[in-house]
Amino acid sequence: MPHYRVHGMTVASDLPLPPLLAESDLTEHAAADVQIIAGDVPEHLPTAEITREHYQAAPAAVLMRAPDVGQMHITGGNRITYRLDAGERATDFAAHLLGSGCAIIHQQRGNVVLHGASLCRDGLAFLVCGVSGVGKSTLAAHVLEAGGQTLGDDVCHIGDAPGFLAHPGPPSTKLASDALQTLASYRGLPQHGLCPSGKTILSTADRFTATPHPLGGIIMLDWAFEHEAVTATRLAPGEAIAALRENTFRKRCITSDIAQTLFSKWSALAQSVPIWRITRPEGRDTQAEIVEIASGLLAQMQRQPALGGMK
Amino acid sequence: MQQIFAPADDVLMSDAGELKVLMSMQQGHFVELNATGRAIWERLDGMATLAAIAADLQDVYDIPPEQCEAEVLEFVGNLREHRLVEPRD
Repeated sequence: MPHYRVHGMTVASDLPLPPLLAESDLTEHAAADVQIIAGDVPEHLPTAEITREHYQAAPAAVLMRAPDVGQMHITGGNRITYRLDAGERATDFAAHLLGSGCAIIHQQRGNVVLHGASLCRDGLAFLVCGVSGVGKSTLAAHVLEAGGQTLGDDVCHIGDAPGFLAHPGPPSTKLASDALQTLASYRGLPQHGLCPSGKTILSTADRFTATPHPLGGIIMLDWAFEHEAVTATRLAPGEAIAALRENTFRKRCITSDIAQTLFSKWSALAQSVPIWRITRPEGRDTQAEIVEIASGLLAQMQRQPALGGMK
Repeated sequence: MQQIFAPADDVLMSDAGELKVLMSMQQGHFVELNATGRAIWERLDGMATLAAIAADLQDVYDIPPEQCEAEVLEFVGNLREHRLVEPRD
């Protein structure tokens, strides 16, 4: 079965994943951390603590459905069993496996996984987090145009103290059409269609690094009212912990068995790595101002590396 | 002051370094604890009344009873507002 390296894990998958992630040494595979295998998926989890329309979460087991695409049963922090809906393409489901599937695997292992675009510059990684549509990918793209590389666009696993390594995810990004118009170098990137939100899926393979980097800082993008100004505030540790919880990928799937472990890791991260909140007023074009502020913060973080980001 | 409170089922406390933060995992609400707050929190065990907690802290910190009761009430009110504690019968 083909092996891949993604999110800091070796994954054995019978469903094809992006070729760039494939392990180059086909003879000496490390033992896979995760198995992704087609098979039977249960209708319900009898021990579910959390039940929503498209997912159920129980200790060490999550059942998730991507409407009209397929279902996956994620168990024990090491196995994803999936079933494709009739007529659906495997490539469409790969994004779900590499996003939600791998994020939940990490959560079941008690690891930190954030929803954000990750980039690196001069040996340090930076994350841009925030709710969908707030401009994470666009800000990251502007910063990357000024130099640097990407580690991924959506899901980022942060390793434990003291290194707090940011691990690379799949080499792609999603950009809204208006953002794409303002980013000249992105218009030439290979396009892989549209995602359900209407954004264009682009390959960022030519500016991707597959090497984990120590985390230098996190920028949380947040909406503000239209009449308010763009602001940048360094979060106090308590606020930073709350922001890390808020920006945890699939936070609604966190069950009681892993909650304290994750909380302790967020606490350690919040005390070691600078976390900034930049507010973006709704309804006004403040992109240039936000890019300028973010660039200044990144430069500042590089001059004063975080405890976990010592080069 | 005869009410009894206990930590909510989903409340967590950080244990890293000097920082002490309570958080409701489901709600995302959080409260940072100073030394006094931590002393009150540790006494919210689902058995002691607020009056008993205030009397205990009054001995420890040597402050007037009225001030101690007011601080306990304000702190527990804040925790309750953030759903970090639940009343017990």
